[in-house]
Amino acid sequence: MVLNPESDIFVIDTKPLGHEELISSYLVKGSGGVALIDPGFPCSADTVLSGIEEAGVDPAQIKYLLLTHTHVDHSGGAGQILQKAENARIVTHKRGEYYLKNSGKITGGSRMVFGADLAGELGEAIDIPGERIETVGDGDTVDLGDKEFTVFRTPGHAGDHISLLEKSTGSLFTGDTACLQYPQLNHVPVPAGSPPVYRTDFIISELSRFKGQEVRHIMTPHYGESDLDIETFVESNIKSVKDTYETIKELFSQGLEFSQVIEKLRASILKDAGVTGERAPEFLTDTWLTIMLQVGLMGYMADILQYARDIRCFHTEAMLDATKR
Amino acid sequence: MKKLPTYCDQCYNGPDLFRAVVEDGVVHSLEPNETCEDISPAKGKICVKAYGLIQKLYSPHRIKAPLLRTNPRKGRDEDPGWKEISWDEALTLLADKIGKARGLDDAGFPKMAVIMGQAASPTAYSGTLPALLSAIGNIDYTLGAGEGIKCYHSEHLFCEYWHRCFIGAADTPRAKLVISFGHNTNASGGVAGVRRHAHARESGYKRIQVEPHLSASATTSDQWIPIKVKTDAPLMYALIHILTREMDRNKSCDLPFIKRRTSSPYLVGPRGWFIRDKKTKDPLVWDSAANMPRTHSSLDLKDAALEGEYVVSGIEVGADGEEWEHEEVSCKPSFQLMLDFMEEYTPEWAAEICDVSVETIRNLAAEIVEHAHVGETIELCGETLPYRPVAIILGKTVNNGPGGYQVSWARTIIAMLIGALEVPGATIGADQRMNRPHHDRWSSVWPGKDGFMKNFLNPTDKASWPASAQSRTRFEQLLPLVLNTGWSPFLGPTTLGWLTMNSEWSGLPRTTAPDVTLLYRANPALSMYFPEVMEEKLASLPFFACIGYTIDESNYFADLILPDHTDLEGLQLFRIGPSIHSECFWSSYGFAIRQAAVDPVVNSIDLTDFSTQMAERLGILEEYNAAINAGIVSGVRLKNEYVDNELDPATLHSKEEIWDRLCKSSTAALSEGSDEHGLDWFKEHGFYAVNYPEIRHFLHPVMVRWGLRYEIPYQENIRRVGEQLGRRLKENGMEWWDEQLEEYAAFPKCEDFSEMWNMECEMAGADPDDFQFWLINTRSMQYAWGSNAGMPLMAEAAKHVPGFKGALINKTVAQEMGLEEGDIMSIESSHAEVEARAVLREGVRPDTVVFTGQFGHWITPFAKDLGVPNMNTLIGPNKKMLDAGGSLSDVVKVRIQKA
Repeated sequence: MVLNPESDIFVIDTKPLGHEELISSYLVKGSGGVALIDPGFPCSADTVLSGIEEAGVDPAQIKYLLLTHTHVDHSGGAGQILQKAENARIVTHKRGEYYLKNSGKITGGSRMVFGADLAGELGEAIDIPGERIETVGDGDTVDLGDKEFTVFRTPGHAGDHISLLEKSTGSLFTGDTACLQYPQLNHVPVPAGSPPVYRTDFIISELSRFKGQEVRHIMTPHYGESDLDIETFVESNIKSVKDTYETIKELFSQGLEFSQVIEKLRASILKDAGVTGERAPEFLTDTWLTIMLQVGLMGYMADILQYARDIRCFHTEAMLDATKR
Repeated sequence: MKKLPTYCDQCYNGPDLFRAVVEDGVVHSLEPNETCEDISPAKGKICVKAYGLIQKLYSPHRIKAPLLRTNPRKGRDEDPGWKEISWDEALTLLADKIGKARGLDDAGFPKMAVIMGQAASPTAYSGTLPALLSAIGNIDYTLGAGEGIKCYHSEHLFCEYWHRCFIGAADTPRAKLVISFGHNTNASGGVAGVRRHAHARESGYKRIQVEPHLSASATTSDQWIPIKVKTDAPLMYALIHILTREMDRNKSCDLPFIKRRTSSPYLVGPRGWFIRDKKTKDPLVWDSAANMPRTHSSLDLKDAALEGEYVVSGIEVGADGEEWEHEEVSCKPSFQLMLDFMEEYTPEWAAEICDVSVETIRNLAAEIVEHAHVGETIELCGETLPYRPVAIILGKTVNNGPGGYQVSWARTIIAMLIGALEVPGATIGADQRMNRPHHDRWSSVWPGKDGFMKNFLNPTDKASWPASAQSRTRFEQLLPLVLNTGWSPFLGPTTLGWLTMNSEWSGLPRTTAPDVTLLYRANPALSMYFPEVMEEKLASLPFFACIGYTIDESNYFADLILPDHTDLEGLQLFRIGPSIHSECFWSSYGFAIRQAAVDPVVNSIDLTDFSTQMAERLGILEEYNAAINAGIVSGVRLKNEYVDNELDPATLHSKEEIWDRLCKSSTAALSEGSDEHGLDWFKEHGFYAVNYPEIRHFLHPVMVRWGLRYEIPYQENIRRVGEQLGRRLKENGMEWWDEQLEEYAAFPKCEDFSEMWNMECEMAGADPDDFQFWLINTRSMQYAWGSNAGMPLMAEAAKHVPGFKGALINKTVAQEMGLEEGDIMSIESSHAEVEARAVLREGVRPDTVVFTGQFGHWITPFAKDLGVPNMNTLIGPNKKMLDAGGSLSDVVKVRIQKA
């Protein structure tokens, strides 16, 4: 569980529905308090609380519940944790505040991604009262005494997304700016695309920004600490983002439909990972990976097709060219 | 002399851009704004309503200061005892009332309600009012006026579900044939509508107008088919019958489109649900090339069958997840089922019902096929798209009330058959309101289950269906298709909310009255059905405040009236483009300014100032400013990736500062940071717009890119949603919606819906044979939506258009009845009686009488003396006449005699 005995940073496998090494939460002990980063799905709350206790922490000691963003697989369990962590305050980007107060939106997003049945099993988020929420922006800091997090605004994956760098240990909590890189798939990077729009231009610049920081540990949510140095990590992630973009374009140009592109991408990832069904859990290789690719492809396609949640300028030629069939 | 750019958005086709010409502090004329010619579908021109804005500004009848009611008794015969008060007093009173009315009452309904009308146009005048209302929170918007239920209601719900088509439009510039079932474009389509159709006629397109009277649109059409009232569905079903069962389908239909872009090949099992793969639960199709079943998305699928009968194994999934497993059971593709379903709907059957000859019906079908150009393509923005220049558009009375679902379905099926759906020349969606974002239909297309577009219906499954409603119309419980987004409350069954307020109606549970009601740009005492009931309801509201222009039939029952600035006095930024209503397709999109041409003429208030001051008084200034920052006004976030113009949440900002920041952030977003123009720039230039790619007006390219199918013809999910809804209502003892549930059919059965109105007479204890006329209503270009009934200029313009003086009646019939032009007629329904002058016309069916526009005013200055009745008076509240969306039709059976 403990990542680094000197740093007092713990990884907690949130084990949604009992599945291991899909989503990691992080517990950080500082002289001025304890922070929990991204508690995972609602159904993981009990598991996370057990992990907190295993780390020798009473939930009442948690000062901050830091959320990289309000997608259900990261913040869905925040309300349940907060009920036990009675002294904690949620820290989120201000664009996330609305969703935390109106948890139906988070649950709605879960249903959209996972379908009603699986979303029901993964649990429902609960509303968080506004007085327990603190909002932060780019450059703000969160103080834990001998530890301090600097906030990086990283909206490529989601409009309210932040990444966090703990200065004293050089630990970067990437959130979903980083690619998915599951140990059970041999850490093959898979871009964490997401609707409404996966801004690949933002992701690339956000990843590049990490290179200029003093990062010694890279903590990803999907899953665990990367063993790469920051330069290699950033380059491999950027390459994956760009290569996936080109692959999608190529597959669509061959006339494949959405579900067929998913299947091709999934097969390619499993091949790169050198994984067969016997060597990796079926839930990961079939259900989970398919869902992640579906939302990933949706995010990519929305970027390619210039989907616009807010008003924007459209560039016809680039868009049509990218999706010629 | 100054020429100040501004806009008119009095109707749902705007905004139209023009300039106000001001000299010595007086607006004396208006002129078109030619600088927007290249981008605006109206080419910078304005209609008569815009020209009336000067009269509106200087009307002596304007409310000149806030008015407080001193007589607590309310009624038509009660003098309100208006007393002018100061703005400070007025806002203090209102803030006190609203402050106590936040949150939910004991029945679980919001204590505060807001009534808005005039289709979408209030937001073009409301300043930052949306931000104030957002900051107040917990507001019931469902107690509406006439919008929603008197609009293109079934089309809104079903067609936005099928193809993001809030209102069906013709791609007029490229169409060769437009068939309009009651859609009166020349009256309701604004400047853009009139212009586009005029140009299309010059280019040689053909328009066929199918409606009971010779409307303003029929007069400029190539053919008028005088169909009997509310029999459009049988005619359209007959067209489908001809196209699919009489003609050679290989020639009449676009089979590749049907096969690949719709659910036509999906096999249907013995219980009427799609038959699905046992493991993946994907719908199965029959691969004719391989002679075996496959899933619809199989990479190996070569040729999905549309016809025939096949033996497959699979599962059916019904309501609430019920499953039935089948081994080697006989199934047909949905298309085959439709062919079977259409067997009875022959042109002979339809002709009897519609009073349209069999020959005319067959000729219409032949015209559709002749003009469909199946197989042809066209280049647009460098992309090759199908070219199918046939469009079918529907009028609001056609797709409201009984038969509304049927016509919406049938229109979409006809379009499907010839591949004329969301492609150049064809039927396309002009707008989307329930799905987001409003400014780009493409951006709402996501892959969902079964190969269809994802839809976000209100849940009907047991775990998620809300057992209690927070809206007085209960739309979130009753209307799965209306979704639960910003516009949804306005599209719910408004009738239910009003009729159940403080009373039980037809077994429906009571609803409580809101403690505070705020009304803006609506006159529900006239525009809602059953005006006498509406007056009672408005009179019973505990505290009723109206933002008003002149005294009118609704604010006559108010406790407080607050005069706002008129169009030429207020300040606001408003979005232009990319598309709206039925003909307004812009080649750009952006924002236009509305600015004060003169100093306020009376002691009225700008609604941004009103909102800011109210926010401060209510102690919600931070939430109000945060809402503005978040983009609730005009859809513009003040902070975006290019600029940060956010308001300090704790500061009271002037309206100039607010709009200056909105101007800057909007231009920065649109220009990707290269421009940042503030208020002064907008006041000089009038608008800022960037290119909107024309291809994005058509859904086809994005559907193809996602590999999606339209969820037609077989409405498997609609059936599922309806069954689930029925179960939830029954489980909760709500059995008063059973008839409406019958609408949720996989194939909607068609009948002679006109018989419903005979039934209505019988239910009222009357003999339908005594009520031999059909009374309908037709739109008015001069008056529609704009609070223009009190404008003498509108009356002067309208007097040149037949119909405004009274009721149109067939000339021969009138003369047989001893009626001459101008005679007063008694027009009586089974519910009430009104009088109207006879306007004799050849272009009206002998069994039909037509009112033009909506009048019946009894207090609005000038309008009250026009002597034209209100059709709503004649329509009684009858739950059986409501469709599943809660709409009635502007139709009633009447008898007529000389008064």
